[in-house]
Amino acid sequence: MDAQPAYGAYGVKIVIDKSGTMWHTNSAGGWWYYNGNGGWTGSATPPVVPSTSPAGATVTASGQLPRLQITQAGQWAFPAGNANLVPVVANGKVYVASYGQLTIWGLAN
Amino acid sequence: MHSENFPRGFVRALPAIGAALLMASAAHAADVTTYHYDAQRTGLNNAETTLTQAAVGSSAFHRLHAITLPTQVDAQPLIVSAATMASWGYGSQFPHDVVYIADEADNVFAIDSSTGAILLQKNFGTPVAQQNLPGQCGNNATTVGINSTPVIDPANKVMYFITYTWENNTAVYRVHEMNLVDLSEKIPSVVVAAKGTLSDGSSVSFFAGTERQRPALLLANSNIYAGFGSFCDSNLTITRGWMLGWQAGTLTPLAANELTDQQTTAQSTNNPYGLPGAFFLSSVWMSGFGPSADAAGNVYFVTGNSDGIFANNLPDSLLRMAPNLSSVTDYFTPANFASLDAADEDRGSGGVMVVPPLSNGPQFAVSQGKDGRLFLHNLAANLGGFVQGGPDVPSSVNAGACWCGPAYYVGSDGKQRVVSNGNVQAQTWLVPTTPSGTLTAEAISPELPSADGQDPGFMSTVSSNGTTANSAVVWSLSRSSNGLIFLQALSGTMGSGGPATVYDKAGNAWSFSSQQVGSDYVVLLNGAPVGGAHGIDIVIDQAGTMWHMNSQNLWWSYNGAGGWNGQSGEPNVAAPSPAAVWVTTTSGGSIVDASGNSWSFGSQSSGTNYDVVLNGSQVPGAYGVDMTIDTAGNMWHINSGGGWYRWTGSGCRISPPARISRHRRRPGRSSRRPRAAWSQTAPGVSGVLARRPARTPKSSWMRSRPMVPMASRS
Repeated sequence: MDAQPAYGAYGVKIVIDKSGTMWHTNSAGGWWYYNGNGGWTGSATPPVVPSTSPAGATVTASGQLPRLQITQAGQWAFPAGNANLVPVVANGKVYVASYGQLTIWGLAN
Repeated sequence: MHSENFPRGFVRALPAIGAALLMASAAHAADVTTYHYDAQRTGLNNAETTLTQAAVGSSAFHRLHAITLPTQVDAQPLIVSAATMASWGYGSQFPHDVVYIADEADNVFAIDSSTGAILLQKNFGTPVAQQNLPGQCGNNATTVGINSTPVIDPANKVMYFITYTWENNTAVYRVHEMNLVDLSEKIPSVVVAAKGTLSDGSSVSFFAGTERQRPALLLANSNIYAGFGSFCDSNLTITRGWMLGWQAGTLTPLAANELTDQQTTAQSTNNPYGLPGAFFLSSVWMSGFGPSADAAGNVYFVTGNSDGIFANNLPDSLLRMAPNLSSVTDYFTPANFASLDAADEDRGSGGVMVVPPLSNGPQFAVSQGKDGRLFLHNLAANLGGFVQGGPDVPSSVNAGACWCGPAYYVGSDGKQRVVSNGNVQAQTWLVPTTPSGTLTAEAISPELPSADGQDPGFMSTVSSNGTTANSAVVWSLSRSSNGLIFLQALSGTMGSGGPATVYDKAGNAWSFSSQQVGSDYVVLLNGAPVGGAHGIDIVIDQAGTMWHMNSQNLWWSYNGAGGWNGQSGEPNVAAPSPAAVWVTTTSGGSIVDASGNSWSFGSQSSGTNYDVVLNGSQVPGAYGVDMTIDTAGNMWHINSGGGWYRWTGSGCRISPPARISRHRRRPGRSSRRPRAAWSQTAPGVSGVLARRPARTPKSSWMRSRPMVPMASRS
């Protein structure tokens, strides 16, 4: 990884705003964003940054099947036995039957 | 193929299947009437319009219900849609889709998919206890009842299933034909009995005491088919593989059946267990996968290990049977079957799927077993027979050790894909367009984080909206070593179904560069490489921390200062339960808070109160009758005295008791809310809840009870 000082900038935090622009803030609380041409533009207001992605949000590299969700959906009481369980999808719902439980999944209203 | 081979209402996107083969349906609601959705066992529901990749990947995807059942369920759930019920004249009785569940205590349940209410339930006998199984086989629940997936015949509004019952100190199999609308038996059940012909012309009787009926039932050719094999490879000198059939409607046994090992004497070669003595086997079990059928009604299944002898025996083989089971019309036995036998590497751990043929295209099937080879069988030619010394006629690829079965879908590019489920990763393979072609690897999933709790492999199904772009979702279930079942949803679109960038709790943007390091890709933090990291997956955990996984399935979490916490387990990605999802002492189940903690009730401990259990351990001093999650993801529980408590991370914080008591003990009201009102969705329930703020002074009540959105209650 290359690590070179960038155009005289210094600070305590770097963030990417919603449009993908890089901002940095210094210890005094000032904000600057990169102008794309080796310089910085000061701002009286901090950048609008994205909210934290939900748990399980995934980026998958090329050649991969991206994971959309992974979640606990049931239980299995007997470790000596395989759980060859089949997820069933019908009409907007997912059904998971396991040990002592049926869970139903779908979109919250 | 007969129309009953296709789930009613599924609108196939493949024109070559032929309109004549499909069952017409005005409604586009899907019924799931058989294992893996159809007789070919594709596992494809291509009429799913709601659960797109975007919807499934959003925070709106949640658990809606957790219904407590008495014991283990090995059978796949089956669904009859509300539209189908209405078309039968039962719309008022069954206003929502109905889920049919069969369990290992010989119970059948009909459950309302929208409310989670158990509408009907019936027991069909005493299941066989483990101590009465051959060798006291332990790879099952403590009882074995309905071990296989039933099959629904929508034309006759019945469900067929096979119970295992203990009758007069004897294990008995019975075939049942049950009316779907009231769970009554349409005709008396039929005891499973059969005689098979051995190589010398003598006969051997089917013995229920040693046979396991694990494969899902097949409805095809107006017959019901069921496969049988062993319990834990026990009673080796008796147990053999069987394929039996009965006429649908009458349950009259077919005149013919298939006995996979027809040797007259049990042999003692290649005993993989080093045990003295001899054995038969060539079981039919397929990890619960069902026998499949092609458009001509031929029946296919795969057998398990035997004694390494091929004469009068079909071990580790793919069989094609005539619809009446009168003959094996073709087969494939791998050249190395004897070594597979010797190592207990049988091919019968996986099922066979008939690939729906495209118009004028080749006709294939695929099968995969413990040694991981995924075979591509050309159904238009011979299946390959047995070639002493090899090479095998069908081509194969390595897709991972498989106690599993394949699935199938067609992408928006019109290309056919087989989904394999070996080891701990799903893979997609492009189906060749010529008969001599081979499967081509396309894409692979992240490792199922907890698929290490059992033998390798798992089961998947696929949903899609025809071939609409970004609609295909691959669904999988795996079991962890600590007994948890995980549901995974994958995009069926390689490398483009997930977000290109995710954000951690510090607002950092994480993505991949196109620059590769071996099989990995360089990880980018706010657009720049960081700490030499590379991998194939970036995930945000429930605490908002970024993790990445490399192609060796090793995980690192970001330390917030340009470095990594290496190989420190796996990310906890359990999303919190939606607000207002309730667990009661009678409903059972569990909820997950914003910190990823799983909550449930344990034993009854104090009056009508039950212990509160956090991640499997009792929380000292905490007990109650109900628990829920508020809009902030906090866990709350209420005890029988009406007191609310919120989990603070190390203990429970009680809300102002005087204010709660004043509200909870208003004259004329129960000291705690009516249980029925919270577990039902009758209109009066929401009315009770909606009226509360108006009837209660705007004071402590709304601050001292969990905030739950009213809309989600109904």
